[in-house]
Parts: sequence; structure tokens; C-alpha cells
Amino acid sequence: MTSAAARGDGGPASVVVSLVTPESVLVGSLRLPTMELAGSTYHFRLLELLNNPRLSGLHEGQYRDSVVLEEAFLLPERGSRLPVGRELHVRPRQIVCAYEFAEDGSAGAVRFSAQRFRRPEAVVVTTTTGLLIDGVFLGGAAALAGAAQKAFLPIVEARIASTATPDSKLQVPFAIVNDAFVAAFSSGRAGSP
Amino acid sequence: MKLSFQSVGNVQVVVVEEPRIDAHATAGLKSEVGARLSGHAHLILDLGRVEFVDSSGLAAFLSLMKRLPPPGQLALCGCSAPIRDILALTRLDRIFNVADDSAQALAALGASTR
Repeated sequence: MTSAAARGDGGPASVVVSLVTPESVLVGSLRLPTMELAGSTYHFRLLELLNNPRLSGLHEGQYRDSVVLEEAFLLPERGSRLPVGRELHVRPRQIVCAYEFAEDGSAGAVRFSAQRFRRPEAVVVTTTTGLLIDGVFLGGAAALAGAAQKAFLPIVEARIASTATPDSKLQVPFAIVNDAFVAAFSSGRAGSP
Repeated sequence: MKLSFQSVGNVQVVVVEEPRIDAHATAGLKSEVGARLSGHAHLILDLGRVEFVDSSGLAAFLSLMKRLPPPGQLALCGCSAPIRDILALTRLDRIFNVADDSAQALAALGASTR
């Protein structure tokens, strides 16, 4: 399976991601695990990897239940970026929000989710760490209200802002939010009545 | 993508003459700027005319920075308040040098201008 990743058939072998934790933002390259299915190579996506970090075990030398950033930057709330080792092992349960810095608009990631989730609905989510995220939740606000079956929830056509500067939004085709850090949510778009 | 270039010593200074850097613009930005990096240690992107940058634009900035030979740095200048807010939100302002204008960026890079 590692060799399939090296070949990179049918999708990206790695993506540049931002993993937002309560204290730091971690930016780096993340290798996506792959699996051979019926003669083709299936690339697991970031959402699947965060919801099931044991998939990382598909690569040799990877600790279980962590995802590995390579060429990573650790960006604290204050001060300069901190140097980290060649590989940074990250516990997904500590991640508030994640997104890919995809130059193609993450179209593949959006297609992936659209195939697996139903009832898209505009939602606004605030996190316990002061992020304001609005976008389309694939599953609907009712699913947000219920007990999450997965820790990480997909939001497409997302706009991410700090509650301190809510008018300056980063547009992200595909954001992933940890349900454990969702403080409040509502249907609709930010700023709409 | 409309860009203008100026070599200042070992720094390539690029003025982005478009209002948006999004998924439609990043390929042009990367290819045109990337082709002009040879012989330069640092890169300055002047975003004074840019009104909007999304995550794909930020990806292009990261990609261009990686194409600089170490310890080359990327500086962004002329950023509007919303773009500065986004750089602060993503904390990429800790990775890129963010300056008011190209003169300040050149000074921050400690660049040789000869």
C-alpha cells in the first residue's frame, strides 16, 4: 500500500493542510494513505483520515492514532514560528478545525463528500476557540443537533473567520470541524437574519 | 494573470495587477512568477491592488516560497486590512514577512540590492 502512495495514482499523494488546535496552528504536508481496490488506487481524504487516524498505519513507521505532518510549521498564538522535527505527529482529537491549502479548489474533496452525505444545508458554527465558520453542512443542521457519529464534520463552501474580526473571512472549499469544539450553531449564513 | 516584475539585486519584486487571487488565478501566478525566480534569493509579492485572496491563493504563496532556494524568504506587501486579517487568522503572517510596502519588505529581507 505504501508503494501505491508513492505512485500517486488517481489523486494527490499528499496535501498541504492547516490543522488548527486551541493553542497553535500547524501547517505542513500530509501524506494521504491509499488502498488498492479492484485494480485501482483509492486515496483516503483528509476527512477520512481525521475520523479514522488508524488509517495512517497503512504507512510504515507511523504511530497509531496520529497524523503526520512533514515540512511542518508550528505557529503559536504569539511570537515567531517554532521549529519542529522532520515529522510532526498530531493527535486528531486535539484539532479544532482543518482545511487543505488546495490550489485546485479541493474539488475532489468536495465531490468525495457530496457522494457520501445528504441533506446539504447552510449553517453557521462557532467554536469554543473563537472561530466563526459558515458554509454548507453536508448532513443538515439537524445532524449537527444530534449526537455526532463522527468526530469530524465536513463543511463545504466554507468561510472561516475569527470572532474578533468576523468581516474578514477566509474562503475554503472544504473545511473540517471537530464536533467536540462546536460551541453553538444555527441554520443559515453568517450575517443573515 | 497580469503581473509586473522588477529585479532589485537578489530580490524578485512582483506586483500583482489583478483584484483576485483565487483558484482561477493561481496557476498563472505560480507559473509566471516561478519562471522568474531563477537567480533570485528572495521574492516580494506586492498585493496593493489585490482585494481578495482565498485558500488556493495562500497555497500558491506557500508553493512559491518553497521554490526559493534556502534560506530564501517570501515577503508580502501592500496588503489590505482584510488580507492582513486572513494572514493573521491562518497565522501565515508568521511564515511570510508582511510589510507595508516594497521598500519596507526589502529592508526586512535584508536583501542585497546591488
